[in-house]
Amino acid sequence: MKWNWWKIASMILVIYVLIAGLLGEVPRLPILNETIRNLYFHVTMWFSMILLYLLSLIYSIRFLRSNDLSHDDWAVESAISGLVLGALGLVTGMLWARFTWGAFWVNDPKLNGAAIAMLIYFAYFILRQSFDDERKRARLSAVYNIFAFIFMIVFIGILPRLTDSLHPGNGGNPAFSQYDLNSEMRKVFYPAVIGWVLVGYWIVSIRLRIRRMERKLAWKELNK
Amino acid sequence: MKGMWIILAHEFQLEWKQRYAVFGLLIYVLSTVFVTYLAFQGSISERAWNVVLWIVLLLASVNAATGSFIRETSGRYWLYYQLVDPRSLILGKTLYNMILMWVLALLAWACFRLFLGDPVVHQGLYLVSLLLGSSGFAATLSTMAAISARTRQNTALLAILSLPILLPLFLVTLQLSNAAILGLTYELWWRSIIVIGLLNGVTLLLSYLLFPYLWRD
Repeated sequence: MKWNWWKIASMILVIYVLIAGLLGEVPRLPILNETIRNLYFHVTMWFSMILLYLLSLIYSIRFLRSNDLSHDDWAVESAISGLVLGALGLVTGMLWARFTWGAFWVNDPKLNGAAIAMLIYFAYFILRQSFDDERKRARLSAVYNIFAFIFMIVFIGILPRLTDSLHPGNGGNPAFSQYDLNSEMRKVFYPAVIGWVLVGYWIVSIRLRIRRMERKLAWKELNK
Repeated sequence: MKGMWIILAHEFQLEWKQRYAVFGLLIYVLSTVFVTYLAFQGSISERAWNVVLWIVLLLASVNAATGSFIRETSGRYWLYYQLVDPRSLILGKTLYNMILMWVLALLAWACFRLFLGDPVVHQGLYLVSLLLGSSGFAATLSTMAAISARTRQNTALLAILSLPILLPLFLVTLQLSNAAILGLTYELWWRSIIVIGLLNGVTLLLSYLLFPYLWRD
């Protein structure tokens, strides 16, 4: 078996983030209070989601150029784990909103953007289900994936900046960056980003292996 | 470029042969506006006027685009369209859909003014927002219709694929047209126009670059 140092690193990082994130010292701020710890989970999960979607985009483009089905496997599996991290980021964000804004959901461009970003990727998976032919599915959903990524960025990155938002970092609300520059918090924040990305990548690699095995088995069945 | 005009002319000829499809769309707009009128009992707030108009337009556009690649995926036309450059095909189709959606938008606007009154202060700006918005609808919907026409269950899929992608455009056009209704000053809406222009540009560019991949088999 190959020595996968990064798997061990990801576990150490995530365990460290859980312990240091929940027990470590954080700045005492009005309203935010202890919920500032959510920075280690909510924000970092969204970072990792975007990175995984980016990976999916890259493999979709590579598929269009190479027509190699293994690139399509990469694209779909990284989109799935991006969606999982996105859902976790949304849930952690909702919990945070409950304690600082008083409700799980408020009408805010950032939150709506998050919901739409998920809808776009749901549409991507539904599209994948509606083809019989493997190559046709791979090609057409790769095209949709490119649209999906670009409009997700528009929705969560550009539109909220055009309107006022309650979300930290918008419309005069204090941004996380104003107090996470506190070096104590940085010590947890960056490991958390790396940790979640590695865990996401790990899930992708396991699911890819399952996919390859299934394909081999199906091939064997056919040639029996 | 020349191929694009040929496709456009061809679309018009075909559509003229099957006039009932276009008339169906016009009736669709008319009846949804009338339903709105009856549901609101004639009195409607400015905000609701705008939002409902745009929702009617969005759904009518999705309906209009659904048919735009049905002919091509089977039979004789499939062969014909393989002879045209795919890029001029998508540009021609998009242009045709744009014109169709402009007609729908103007009709919906006229009906809204007739039945539900006219709250718009800045008429020119409202017209601009209608034309820009429906151009964007046409650009996105044409490409998405090309994708969904190749799948098994293609009618519902177009809405699922295109609505989330259309939402950024939809929300910014709502802002712009709301500014036209309230008669806001220039500083408050010029940014929306630039954003809509950019969104439409990005969509057109993406569909121009990616359409050949949708089309070859």
